[in-house]
Amino acid sequence: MSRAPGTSRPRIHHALTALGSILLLTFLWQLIALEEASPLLPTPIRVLEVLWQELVSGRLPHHLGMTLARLIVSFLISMILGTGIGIILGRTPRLDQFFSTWLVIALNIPALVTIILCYVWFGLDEFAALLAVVINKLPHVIVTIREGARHLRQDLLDIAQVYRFGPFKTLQHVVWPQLFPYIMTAGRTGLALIWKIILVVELLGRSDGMGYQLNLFFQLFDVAGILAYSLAFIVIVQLIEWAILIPLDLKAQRWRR
Amino acid sequence: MTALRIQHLKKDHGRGLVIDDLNLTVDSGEFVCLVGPSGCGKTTLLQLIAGLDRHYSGDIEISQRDPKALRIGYASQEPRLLPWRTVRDNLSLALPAGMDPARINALIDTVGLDAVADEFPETLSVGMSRRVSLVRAFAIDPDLLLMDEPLVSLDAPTARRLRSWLLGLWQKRPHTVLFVTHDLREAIEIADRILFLSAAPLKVLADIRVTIERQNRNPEAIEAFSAHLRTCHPNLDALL
Repeated sequence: MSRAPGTSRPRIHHALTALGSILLLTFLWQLIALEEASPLLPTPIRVLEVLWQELVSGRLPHHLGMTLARLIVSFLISMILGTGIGIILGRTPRLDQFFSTWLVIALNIPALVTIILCYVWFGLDEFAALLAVVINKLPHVIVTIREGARHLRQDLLDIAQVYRFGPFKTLQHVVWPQLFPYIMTAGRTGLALIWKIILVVELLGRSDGMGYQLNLFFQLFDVAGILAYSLAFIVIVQLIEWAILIPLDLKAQRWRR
Repeated sequence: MTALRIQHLKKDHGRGLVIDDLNLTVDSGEFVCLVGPSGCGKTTLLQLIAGLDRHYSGDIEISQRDPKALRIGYASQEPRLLPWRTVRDNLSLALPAGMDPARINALIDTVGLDAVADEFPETLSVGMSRRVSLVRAFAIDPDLLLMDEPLVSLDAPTARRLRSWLLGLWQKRPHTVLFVTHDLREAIEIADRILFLSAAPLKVLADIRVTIERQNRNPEAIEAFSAHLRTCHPNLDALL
């Protein structure tokens, strides 16, 4: 009984374990950094100092904000387009057969190639930057959602047809709940992928954002700056997980026993 | 009035005929049982009537009261409830547009589902899920009710309880019913008419009216009727 998930004791246990492991990691870092005593490996405390300075100066909020804005826009576009296309391909085998080679090609183009081509063809602007991110992410969303659409339960679709749900009711009450886990998967992996691609996009052709700033730190060999910005990003991504993704998951799984 | 008329219905699965030149008519308000060996195409027939499969030749005519939409109630041994919607929502969602949603609340009370109305289907027992699925079929006030062995593989007391509950529901509002079963005694107990079906390709072997008054359908009367069938229709022996 005490091992059942969701009871309070194991949860505290988990939190304590996580905290302990982070403390140990920080402690080791501090130890090695003190030993090395080099600006190329700053101590955790030095990184926190830089983080604070960057926060107060407004530079970090500005660049982080730009990157987050690009993240949100490209994420939404690729999720909406990818879900639509994924459903269509999953439900129409003939189209799927025809376009599956396109998908395989799209999945295998290196991210860097699409980014360079977008900049070369459309110029070094915001549109090209977002387009490059969307093109990189879209095929992954399509493939995941297509898998979900292929496995929709026919018995429930039959019920929707017999009781004349119509397209909207069917989508909302029969299709959407079944696709939701796939959409969550696409969303989670998408977030992780997109922000890595955005950094490259910014590094290559933008004059603001995390990628631009990291490039700057790289040229100055400012490792503390690099680590401070990474830390800020890790915190943001975790916050998105805790504040948005986990509650969404729980709400959608309510009906399971 | 005729509720359902099927003429020259043929269905080919690609592996041969499943239904071969089937003709039948069902009057409005009539309770008709289809009895046949398993695998004879009864489920296929119901799917054709329900409009789930349009690949057939012949005619299926169903008279509808609401000129905008035909209403078909469908219940099978798989309850087919949406697991992510509560019992109440499962029932409301089936209602055709324009039908008063308050109807569901009233129905939930009268059929004894009030205790589970806000539960999700996965928490229900098998018998209870089937009950919900049957209520959904009745709730839309259907032009035609299709039931595909809704009481099969339940334990005997549950099946008996559900059967009399179902009959009670139907007697309050006699809808036209096609009820598939392979249990002859069940058919004699609930039907106005029994159609005996052949093994695939499906054909009607015999069309028999149950002549016992409904209030007199006790086990002895059912047994006697079944014995009577055996002597009058020796060709049905395999089904009896």
